[in-house]
Amino acid sequence: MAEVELDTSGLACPMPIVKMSRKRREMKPGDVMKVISTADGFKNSVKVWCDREKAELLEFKEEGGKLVARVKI
Amino acid sequence: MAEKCAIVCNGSEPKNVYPPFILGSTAASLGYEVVMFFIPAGGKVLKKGFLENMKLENMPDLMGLQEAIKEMGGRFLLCELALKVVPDLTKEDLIDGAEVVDAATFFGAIEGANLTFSF
Repeated sequence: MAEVELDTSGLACPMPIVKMSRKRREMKPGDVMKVISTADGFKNSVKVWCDREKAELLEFKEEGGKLVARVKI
Repeated sequence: MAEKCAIVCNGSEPKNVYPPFILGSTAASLGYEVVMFFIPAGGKVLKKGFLENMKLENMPDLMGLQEAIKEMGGRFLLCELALKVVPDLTKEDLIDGAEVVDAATFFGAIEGANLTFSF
């Protein structure tokens, strides 16, 4: 199970979600995507993305002024 | 079959162009099958170079959104009347992947759409 990092710092809506979907295409079920964002809506949008895409939100935290989500594909 | 999202673009001003591409890329990212329809008033949006040249500060890159929608299976349908009424717009001028269709084809393409937007 690989873990990949996707840093979307500085990008606003809808880019974090769009980049997550593009990155997902390179990943396998069970892999984990660590997504970093500074977008205001990211906390909610990552939940919606996980619900829709049948992914699991393993962790969500603030770290060094940024939002960090770990998502299992 | 995936749920569908239909988005109609009614003009070529930023207010007509940004929302369709932002919501279209979001819908595609959330697993919707996206169908975008451009009426003649929005026809030139599908002309090569148009999206590259529309840039507003602090707004996302439209070409990037268009590529994302296309990569995720979204469709860009142009009303065939646009080729008759939009000055200097020919099939050869259109971005790769744009489809010229009539209204009935659009209806067929959005059959069963769960979400519809118009800008």
